[in-house]
Amino acid sequence: MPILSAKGVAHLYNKGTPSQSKAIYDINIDIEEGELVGIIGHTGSGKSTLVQHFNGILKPECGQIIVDGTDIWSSKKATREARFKVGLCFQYPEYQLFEETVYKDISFGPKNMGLSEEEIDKRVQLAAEYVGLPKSLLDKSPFDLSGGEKRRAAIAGVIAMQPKVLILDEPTAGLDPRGRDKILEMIKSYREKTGSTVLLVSHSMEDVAKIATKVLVMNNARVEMYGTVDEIYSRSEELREIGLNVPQVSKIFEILKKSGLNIGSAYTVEKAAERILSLGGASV
Amino acid sequence: MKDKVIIKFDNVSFAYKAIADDDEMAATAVVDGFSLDVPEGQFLAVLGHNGCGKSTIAKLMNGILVPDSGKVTVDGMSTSDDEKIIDIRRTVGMVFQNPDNQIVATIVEDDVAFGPENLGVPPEEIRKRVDDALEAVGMYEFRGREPHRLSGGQKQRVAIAGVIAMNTKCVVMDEPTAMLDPHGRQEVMDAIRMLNKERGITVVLITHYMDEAVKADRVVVMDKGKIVLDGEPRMVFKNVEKLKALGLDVPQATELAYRLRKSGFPIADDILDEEECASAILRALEVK
Repeated sequence: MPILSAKGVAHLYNKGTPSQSKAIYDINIDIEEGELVGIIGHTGSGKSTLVQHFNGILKPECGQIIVDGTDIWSSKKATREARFKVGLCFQYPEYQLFEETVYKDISFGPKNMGLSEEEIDKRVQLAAEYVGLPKSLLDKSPFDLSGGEKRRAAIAGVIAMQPKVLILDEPTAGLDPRGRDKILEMIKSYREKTGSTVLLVSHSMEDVAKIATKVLVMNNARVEMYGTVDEIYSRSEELREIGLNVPQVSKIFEILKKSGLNIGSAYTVEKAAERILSLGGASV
Repeated sequence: MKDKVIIKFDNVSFAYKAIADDDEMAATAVVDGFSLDVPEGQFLAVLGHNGCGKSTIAKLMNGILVPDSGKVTVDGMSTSDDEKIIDIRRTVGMVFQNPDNQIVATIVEDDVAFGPENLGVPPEEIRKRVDDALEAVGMYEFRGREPHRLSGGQKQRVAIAGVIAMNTKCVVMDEPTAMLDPHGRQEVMDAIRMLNKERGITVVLITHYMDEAVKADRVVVMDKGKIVLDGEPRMVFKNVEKLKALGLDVPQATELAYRLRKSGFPIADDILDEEECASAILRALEVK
């Protein structure tokens, strides 16, 4: 059974006004437990609208969102549960930090779940550990942290609710390469340690290639493709047509293939080097 | 004229001061003994991880900050000279990271006119400059629009138009594309390159995107308030290990060539783009 499904979901913007338009429609997707799904698509393709349906922030015009076997709009209780089962971290989540201390900020979610003090403390400590925030920072004001640290503190606040599905909307936007790599590494190890499902909305085809197991491509308010990294990235022509670009290494491999080299595909630098070296070794 | 220096840093140091817990002034040196000449017409990219002093350098370039010691000179004028500050700001314009923080008016063309209006430029001249600046960044058709309805890339181009409407000779941009999607980044980069190549405007671009830096005439890499690498993109990016140690990226083509070389594959170390990389790999395989 998939952990997350959308069945015939559509959402309208400015419903009932002359400017009514389809934000997303005809969304049918099953996401299996434990996957790390990269969601790509150009701005306005419906990525953020889609993920905001998964934890009930937005209510679909038609169709169903099913989390862990339950239609999240079937009862009030189901909707509330979906908000805890699916943790959504918005773009630039550091703007949402508001508490006096990092500790209080991270504990806000678990507190709202009605957990005991002891359980809250356990979760805060664990979440801080997952995102790599040292204990010494927990008593500081969130506003004294660096940009990357703030971002990780905000993500910890979502992780502390221990959702079955963690959704991150562009978690690396605006960070420097080091900050970006730390977040990607953190997401990868979080999934490995907890077995949670993770959805990662991203503009970076490179980042998605590095850590995702599946890729979902949004285009013109619909799901254009869904498959493994290999399946999706090999369709570079179609990706380009919808305004997406494959990583530079993939382009290098395309040129090599056009020149008659039988080399397969690679979407990360590591994989590319491996492939070329294996070829070089064989032809000596 | 070609080698005329428009921005000059001469042994500049700068520290932000804050009141520490014991009420003493605490100062953290951000820029330390920094020297740099930016020739007129150059497209300079500045790289470095967060906290390395890049943004401080940018703010020192038009007198938003003034050095504690040493001297910053803009077109022959010292930024420490209060009387010259208006002229300095007319010479060097700034564009910041967040497109939403630098739009002041409710209509695109009013926003672009804001700068020249403050300089007391006559109305007919303002009209000309606004149209011209909006044409230059490809936003003329949007002149009557409301800025908040524009995309991030369009807003940043309006901000750039606002700077060039002041007839600045130099534009300093502090991560202007960091909050944009790939399409918006491309639009802004096209506008920047056009300003530099066709209008001869000096561009200082602070960025984390290596694909932007490779298009510059010169790349300066900063760490702990000092310059650690300086040269043409090709010369700078071949220092793969050093750049990685500084927490920076290199283009994937450069990194691939670097990895192959390390494993004994015969390939040059100064590869920048995919075409170069692919043909070098093909050559090496044929030789074998």
